[in-house]
Amino acid sequence: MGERDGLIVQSVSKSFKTGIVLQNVTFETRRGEALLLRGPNGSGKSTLVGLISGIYKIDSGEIWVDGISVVKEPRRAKAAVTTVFQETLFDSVISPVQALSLHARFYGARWSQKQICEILEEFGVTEPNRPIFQLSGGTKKKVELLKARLVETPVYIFDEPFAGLDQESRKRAEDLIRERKRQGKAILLVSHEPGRLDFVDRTIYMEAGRIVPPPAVKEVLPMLVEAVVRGWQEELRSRLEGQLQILEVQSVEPSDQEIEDILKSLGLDKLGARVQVLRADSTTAQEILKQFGGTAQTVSAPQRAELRTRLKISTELSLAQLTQLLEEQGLKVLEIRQL
Amino acid sequence: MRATVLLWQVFLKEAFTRWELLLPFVVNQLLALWVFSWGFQRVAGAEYAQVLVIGWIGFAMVTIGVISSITLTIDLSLQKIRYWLSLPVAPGAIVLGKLLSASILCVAASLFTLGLGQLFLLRLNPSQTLWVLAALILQGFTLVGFLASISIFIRDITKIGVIVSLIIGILQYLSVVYFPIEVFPTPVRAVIYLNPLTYAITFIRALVLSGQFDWISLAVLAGLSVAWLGVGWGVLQRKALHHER
Repeated sequence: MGERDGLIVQSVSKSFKTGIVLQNVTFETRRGEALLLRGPNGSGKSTLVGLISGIYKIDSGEIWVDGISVVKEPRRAKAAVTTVFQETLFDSVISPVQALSLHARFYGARWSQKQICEILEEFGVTEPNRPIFQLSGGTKKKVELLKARLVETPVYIFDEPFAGLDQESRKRAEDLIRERKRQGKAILLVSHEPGRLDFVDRTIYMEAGRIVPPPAVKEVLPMLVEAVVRGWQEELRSRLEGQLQILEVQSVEPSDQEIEDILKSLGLDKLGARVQVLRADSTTAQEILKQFGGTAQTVSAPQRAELRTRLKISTELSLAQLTQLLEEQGLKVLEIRQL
Repeated sequence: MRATVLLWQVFLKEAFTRWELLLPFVVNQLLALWVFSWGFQRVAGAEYAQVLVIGWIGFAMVTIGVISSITLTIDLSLQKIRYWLSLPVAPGAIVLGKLLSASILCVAASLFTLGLGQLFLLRLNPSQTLWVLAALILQGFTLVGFLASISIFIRDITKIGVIVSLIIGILQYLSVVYFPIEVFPTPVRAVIYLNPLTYAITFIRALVLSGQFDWISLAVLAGLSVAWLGVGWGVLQRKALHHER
């Protein structure tokens, strides 16, 4: 491997009329490495992406893309990087098939329209011939992401690649990034989303146009949140640790309807016995279950999943981000509020 | 280089798919050439009809040139430029591609009118046709470079209709489109010499109507085309690279 392989950003600064956006930014990501760049909105992440991809001109400093200087040989450097932008820059009047087919040709990749259609459909873009401006935000994002699937370059930049994607598409996007990393490509992932990504090797933080040490970003005070969820299982606790802290787990008193539903799901109504719940609390529910023979001694996992659990959580995430994270673990979030 | 050529092909295709421009243009040219060759020939004689048709061949590219130049300037300030800049293409090549595609569209417009003129009234031999083509190409570069340089000063896009009418009006009436330059009073001639249409029309008229080769007009036109294309390229490239916030 060469000394300047991968992506090297060296003392890069950039100002616009509105002021200084980047100050002396330095980092690198090597072949086969995935680097996550984190930072709040307006910290300069997208400007940095614009500089690497050739949209903006560097004021001072240097960027090397696979050993090619962005300043001295911009055309060659741009040919060595694929950038998935936060919002697609494709001409909105053409279709995803046309846009991607043309884009691939700019980088010397040959794909037939049929192949592109198949890849688009595989990625969940069901109307590949519709003009881009008529597509939803999530679908536009998928089209933009597919640049990284069709074009092969030594360096890949993903600017907020998961924003607006549903769970399934997000998984496909993650698989795509994993695959490129496995192929030995240098990956720069830009995201302000929380959550750990297993393919990320290192994380750097940016704030007000500078690379800052992680503690400076993590000084954000955690928030105390109460969430009522359905489907809680104790093994989720370890999976969620690291992204949030679970302070308390408490079962919520089942309602009459919930008890009745559980009993029915156990097949008790099929025995011919009419179930009438007179008073419902957790003890009563257990008692009723016990009275109905050996098969219903305890509440099994599927039935337990129907019960509600109240979680007290300490987190730095927003309520929306926390909801998304819990739902990604298969929980149904019924209520969520900040304490 | 492959990417640059491909991008230029895209620009050219985009330029020629503006049917909303091309369809009314074709109808207008057909009607104009019919009126000139039939009506003016009867009223003012064949010679004046030919003078008029040649003036009209030169002028045919103006409307399309004005709109194309403004469009390309707008393109360079929209999201599109961000995508093009991210491609493995030099910024200068993006601007040049845009200028060339607009110029080619302009030349095609004048060639269409030349074809109609040849059909109705003119009788150009192959050698004359080649020189006329050369003059029209140079005029196309001059016009697009000139108009693109002006169009960057357009601040308010909602006033575009007024600006287009004004530019077309000046280029049409303070020009040699309808009469040879000798007809105009001396003070007006100075203004007409600033019009980029003057030299190609004068050259073509001399070549077709008198069989004279007007080297001076052609040389001035060649100089103007290089100069205006260079100015337009420089100004637009600056704009393209300063699209930043």
